[in-house]
Amino acid sequence: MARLFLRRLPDSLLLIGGVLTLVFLTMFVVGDPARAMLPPETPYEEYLAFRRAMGFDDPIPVQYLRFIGGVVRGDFGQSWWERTPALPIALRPLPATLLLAVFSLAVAVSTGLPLGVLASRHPGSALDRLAILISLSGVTMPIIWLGLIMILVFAVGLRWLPTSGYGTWAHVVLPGLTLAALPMGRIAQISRVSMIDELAKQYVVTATAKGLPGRAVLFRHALRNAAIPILTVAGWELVLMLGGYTIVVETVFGWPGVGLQLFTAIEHRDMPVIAATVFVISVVIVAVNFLVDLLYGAIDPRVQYQ
Amino acid sequence: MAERRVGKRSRGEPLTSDTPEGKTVSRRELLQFIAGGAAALTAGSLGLRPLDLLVPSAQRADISRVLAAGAPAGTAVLAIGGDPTSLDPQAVEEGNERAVNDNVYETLVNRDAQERIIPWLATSWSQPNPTTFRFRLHRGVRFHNGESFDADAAVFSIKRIISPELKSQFAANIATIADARKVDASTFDLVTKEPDPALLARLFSIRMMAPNWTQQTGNQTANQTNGTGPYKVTAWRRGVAVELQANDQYWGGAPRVKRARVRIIPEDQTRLSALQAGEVDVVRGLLPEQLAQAPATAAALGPQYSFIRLSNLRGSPVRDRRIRQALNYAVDKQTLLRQLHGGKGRLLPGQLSGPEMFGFNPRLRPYPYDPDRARALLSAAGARGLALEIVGTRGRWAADALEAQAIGGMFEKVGVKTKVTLLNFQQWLKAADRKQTPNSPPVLYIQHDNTLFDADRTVSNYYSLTGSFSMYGNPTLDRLIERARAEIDPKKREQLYWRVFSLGREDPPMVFLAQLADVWGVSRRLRWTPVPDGRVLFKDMALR
Repeated sequence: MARLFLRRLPDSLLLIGGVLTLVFLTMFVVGDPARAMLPPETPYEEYLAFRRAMGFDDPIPVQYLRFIGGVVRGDFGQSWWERTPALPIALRPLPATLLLAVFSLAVAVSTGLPLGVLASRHPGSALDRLAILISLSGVTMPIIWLGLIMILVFAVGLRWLPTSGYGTWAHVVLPGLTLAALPMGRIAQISRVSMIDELAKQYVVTATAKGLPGRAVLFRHALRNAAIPILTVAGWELVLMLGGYTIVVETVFGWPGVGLQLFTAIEHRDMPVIAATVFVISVVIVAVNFLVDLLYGAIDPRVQYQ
Repeated sequence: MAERRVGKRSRGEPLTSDTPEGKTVSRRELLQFIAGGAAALTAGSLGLRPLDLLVPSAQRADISRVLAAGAPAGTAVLAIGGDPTSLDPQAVEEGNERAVNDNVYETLVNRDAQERIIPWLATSWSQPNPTTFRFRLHRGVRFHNGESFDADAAVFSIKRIISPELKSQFAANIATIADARKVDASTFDLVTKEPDPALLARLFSIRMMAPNWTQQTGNQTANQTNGTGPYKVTAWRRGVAVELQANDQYWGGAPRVKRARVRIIPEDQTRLSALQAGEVDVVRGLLPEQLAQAPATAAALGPQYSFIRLSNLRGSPVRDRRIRQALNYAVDKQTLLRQLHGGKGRLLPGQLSGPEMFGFNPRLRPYPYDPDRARALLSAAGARGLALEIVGTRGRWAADALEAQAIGGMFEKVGVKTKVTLLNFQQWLKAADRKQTPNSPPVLYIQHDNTLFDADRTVSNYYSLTGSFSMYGNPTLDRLIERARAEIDPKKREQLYWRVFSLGREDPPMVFLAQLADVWGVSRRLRWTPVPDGRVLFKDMALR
C-alpha cells in the first residue's frame, strides 16, 4: 500500500500544481481584486495606491513565482480580506463539509444499493419500475429546488427541523438528504444494471443448480462481482459532491463548509483563500481516488497493482 | 501509472478465490486499514468534537430550545447573507461586519433618527482654526476589557485608521485627515489637510479602539472585539452565527435586549423561511414578492438613489441639455417605483439627494412624466433618429436589469432607438470608471449610496468631473462645489448646495429616478423602527 502511494505521489503533485496554476491564471482574467475590495466610487488615485500596496501591479510572472514559492513552503499568503493566513482559513470549514459529504454518501449508498439490488431480481416487475422511477427522480431533481422544498415542508410547515445552520444532529438531516438524492439515484441505477448483468451470467445458473440459496447467490457471488462499477460510481459521486454540489447545498442551508467558503472567496476575489481552498479540495479528491483504488484491490482479487 | 494484471480464470471455477499470490494488498489488510481509519476518524471527531469546538455545550442546550420553540426568548436574532470577513472595525468596509460591529464599537459622533449629527463619545467640539477640530470627550467610558476611553484612545484610533500599513478600505472616506494630537486627558485635536466641513460626517467611519488591547492583539483584531458599545461578542461560529451579549456597564445604560445573535443565511429564500419558522427576528435583502410572505415588515428610506448617468462631454450623443431634459420627461418613474420596488421609496425631486442628506434642496420638484414634452424637446434639439445604448447591471441592485430594460422601452416610446446592455458588476465597475475606460458609456444605470449623508460626496462624484465615475462637467457647478467644500458656515454651505442642485436640475447630469427604501422582514414579536442609515441596533429593539 505504501508503495502504491509513493507511485501515485508525483502524478498527484503535478495534478494539484496544474490546478493551482489554472486558479492563479483565472484570477487575472476574471476580475480585478482591487475593485472588488474597494467601495465603488473610490477615486482612481486611491484605487491605484491600493493596488500598489497590495502588490497587484507587479508583472504577472513575478506574482506567479511569489505565489508558487509560497505554496511549496505551505504558505498561501494572507487572505486579502481577513488579513490572516489563508491556509487555516481554507481548512477551517473542512470538517463540516466532510461530515455532510460522508453522511450523504452513507444515506445514498444505504438506500440506493438495496433499491438497485432488489429491483434487479425481477427486471420488468412493478417493484423494478418503481425503483427506476425513484432513482430517476433523484437524478433529475434540481438540488436547489429540492433543498428549498425540504425547508418549506419540514422546517417551516411541520417545524420538525431547523431551516438552516449548524450545531446539532438535527441540522445535518435536511442538507444531508438533499445532497444524497442525486447520488442515491445514480447508485441505484448502476447497482440495478450491474446486478442484472451479473445475474444473467453462467455461474449464477451453476450456483443455483448447485443448490445455493438465492440470498447466498445474490450476496456472496453476484454482488461482489457487480461491486466494481458500483464502487466506481460511489467514489465518483463523492468526488462530485466535494468538488461541486456542496456549494449549492451549503448555500441553501447555510452550512459552513468548504463550498460556501470558496463561493464567498470568489465573490471577494480573495486569491489566497481561493487557491488554498482549491488546494484543500484537490488533496481530498486525490485521497478519495486513492482510497477507491485500494478498495478495488480488496474487492476484486483479479485486480493487482505493481 | 499502476498496471493491472488480470489473472486467468477458467470457466466453471468459483470466482471467490483466496489465493493471495501477486496481491500487494490483501483484503484483510485493507479491511483492517479501513476499520482503523474509520475508528480514527470517529475517535478523532469525537475527540476533536467539531460540533463542540463550534458550539459550547451551554449553547447546544439553547439550540435544542430553538428547535422546540422558535427563537430563544430574550435573544434578538438578525439574519444576514454572509459571514463577516473580519471583525476588525477599521480594516474592511463591509455590510456583514457592520451588522455585528455597529453594536460593539462606537464613534465620536452619532446620528439621530433624522440623520442629524449628535454628540456621542465626543460631547462637544470647536474649531480653533479652519483645519483643526478640537473635541472634548465623554468621561468615564470604558472598553469591554476595562481599558479607559480617553484622548489617548481617540488619537490612537485615528492614527491607526489613516496609517498606510493598515491599508484600510475606509481610506477614501477619511483622506482629508492629516493627524491627531492629544491636548489633555479628555481633549484632543484633529487636523485636516485643508478645510473640511464634512469632517464630522466622516467621523462616522472611525470606530474607537483601545490602544493597549489593539497592540497586544495584533492581527487577531480580525477575530476578536473590544469596543465601547452596548454589546460584546461572546462567540463567533464561523459561517453560522455571531453571539452577542449586553454590556451591562454600558455608559449609555444597559440595553433592554440582553442577548442577540447575528445569523448567517446565504440564500434569501432560506432567510425568509427562517423568518416564517420563527427562528429569526429581522431579515434584510428580501425581494418584494418575498416580503409579502413575511409575518411583518418595517421600512425606512435609505440613502440609496437610482439614476441614469448622462454624459455632457464632447462626443456624447446626449450632450445637448434639451436631450437630457427630454430623457427625464420620458421616464414614468412612478410606475417603475410601484412595479419594481413595491412602491417603497420616493421619486427623486430633480436632485440626487433626499431629506436626510445635508444640502438637500426642499424646493425642487421631480420631473413629471410627460412624453409629449419629451418628444418636443428632442425635435427642438434636432435629435430625431437618436440612437442610444443604456448600460446597466444584472443582479447587483434590486431590480436593476428590469429597470434598465423598462427605461429602454420608455425611451423608445418617445422615438429614441434604444439598446440595453447588461453587464456583471465587475465589468460594469470597469466600464463606469472614466479614468479606466476613457470612452465610458454616455448612458449608464447606477444606484448610488451616500452613507456620509453629506452632499459633498454626491456632487463631487456625479455633478462634477472630479469623481472618476462622472461624465459631466460644468464649470459653474465646479466653482460652487469648491466654495462649498471650503465653507465653514453650515448655513452658507447649505445654500451653496441648494444652488448646485437647482442648477443641476435644469442642466441634468442624469435621469433622476428614485430614492429607495430599505425594507426589512420582521417577526411579530419585534418592536423596532429602522433608520435611514440602515444600521440594525439591538439596543433600539424590544421583544414582546
